[in-house]
Amino acid sequence: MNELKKLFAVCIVTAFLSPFFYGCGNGEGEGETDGTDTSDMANGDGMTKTPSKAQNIFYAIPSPIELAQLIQKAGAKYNKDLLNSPDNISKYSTNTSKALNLGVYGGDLSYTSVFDDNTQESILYLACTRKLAESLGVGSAFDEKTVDRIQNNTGKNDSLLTIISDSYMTTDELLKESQRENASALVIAGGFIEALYLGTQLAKVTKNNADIITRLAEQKGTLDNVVGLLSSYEQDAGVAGVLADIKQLKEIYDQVKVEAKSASEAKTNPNTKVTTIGGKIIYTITPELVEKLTIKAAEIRTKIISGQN
Amino acid sequence: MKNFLNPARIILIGAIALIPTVGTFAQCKGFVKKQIPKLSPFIHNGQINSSVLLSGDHAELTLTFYSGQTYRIMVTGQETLGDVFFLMKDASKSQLFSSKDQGKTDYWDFTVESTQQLTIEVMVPDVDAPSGLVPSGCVSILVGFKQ
Repeated sequence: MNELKKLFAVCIVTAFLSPFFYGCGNGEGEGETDGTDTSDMANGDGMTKTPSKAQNIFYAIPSPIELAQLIQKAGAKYNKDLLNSPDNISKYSTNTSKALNLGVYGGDLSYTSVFDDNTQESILYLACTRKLAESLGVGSAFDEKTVDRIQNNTGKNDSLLTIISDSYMTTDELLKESQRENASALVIAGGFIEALYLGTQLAKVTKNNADIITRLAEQKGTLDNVVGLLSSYEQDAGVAGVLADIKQLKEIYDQVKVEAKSASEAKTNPNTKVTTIGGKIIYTITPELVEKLTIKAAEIRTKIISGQN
Repeated sequence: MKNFLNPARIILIGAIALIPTVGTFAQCKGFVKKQIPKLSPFIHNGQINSSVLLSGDHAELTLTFYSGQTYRIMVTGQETLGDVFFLMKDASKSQLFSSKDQGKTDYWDFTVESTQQLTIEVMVPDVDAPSGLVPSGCVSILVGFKQ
C-alpha cells in the first residue's frame, strides 16, 4: 500500500515538474508534427536525453489588414456594397460558420479601416466580429475597450490597424489556448476568402486593374499555406468541408505561372539596417484564369456568408 | 486500498496531472506577449506562432512576403534553450540571412523587390546537459509589416 502511494507521488511530482523545466526526447512522435502553429506541448513522458531533432511546421497567412492594404495601394476604391451584410449574422449557428464568418467580418473590418473616413462602418463591423467572437467564447478580443480605442483613434490609420491587429492576435491566442486550433484555422481561412473576394470584385470594377490582378496572382503561395493549415485539422468535418472548397481554388491557382528571372540577392542598407532582397519573380495569370478565380471565390464566399458551412 | 482510490482522491490526482498542461500554455502565452511590443513600429500580422521546443529541435515557417512592404521577423527563445538562432531562405533554399552571423540579434528587417515565399528556419542549439536532461522552452516566431 505504501509503495503504491509512493509510486503515485513520484508520478505526480514528475508530471508537475517536467514541462516547466525539461521535456523528454524519447523520439516517439517527434518527427514532423501535424503542422499546428499552436502553443503546443513538449512531450513529458520521460526524463532522459535522446536526440530529438523534431521539426515543427508553422503555417502563417498574411493578415487581412495587409491584404486590404495591398489592394488599396494597387488602386482599388472603397465599395461598401461588397461587404457582408451585418444582417447575415443571425444565419451563423454552427461553430464552423461562426468561425468562418468571424474571419469574413474581420476581413471587412480591415477593408473599412485601411480606407479613410469609414470609422462608423469600422465600428459596425467591429460589432459583428465582437458578436461572433462572444458566441465562440473569445469575446474579450473585441471588447468595449477595443471600441473605445477605435473611436479615440479616428483618422489615425496606423493606430486603427494596430488595434485591429491586437484583436486578431487575442482571438488567435484565446482559441489556441482553449485548444480550438481548428476554429483558429477557420477564422484565418474566412479572412483570406473575404480578402480574395474583395480583390477579385474590385478588379472587375477598376479600370486600370493590372496591379490588383498581380496582387491576386501573388496569392498562389498564400493559398498553399491556407491549404496546409486547414489540412492539419482535416479530421474536423467543418474544416474538411471548407478545405474541399478551397482545393477547387487551388486547382485554378496551380495554373498561375511563377518564374524566377534572376537569383535572389540580399543587400543591407548600412544606415537603415533594412535588407532588400533583390531578384525578379514574374507571376502570370491569364484573363480566363482571373475570371474563373472571380467566379470560384464568389461561390465559396456566398456559401460561407449564407451560413451553409 | 479502498480509501486510497476513493473518488475524491482520483479527482485530485487528475487535477494535479492537468497542471502541467495549463502551466505550459501559460508559460508560452506570457513569453509571446512580452515579445510583441518589440515588433513596433511594425504591425503584427495577428498570428501567434509559438511552440515549446527541445534542445536540438528546429521549426520552420513559410510565408509570402509582398513587394512594396517592409517586414520585421522576430524569433525569440526562452533562456533555457540557449542561443536560439534563425535562417531565412528563398524558394530555392538559398540562404539569405543568418541571425548567427549578426551577433545575438533576434530580428531582421527587410523588403523584397518581388513578391515571394521565404522560409524562416529556427534552430535550437543542441545543448549537452550534464544531467542528461533535455532542456525545453518556448520559442516564438513573430511577423510584422508596414507600408
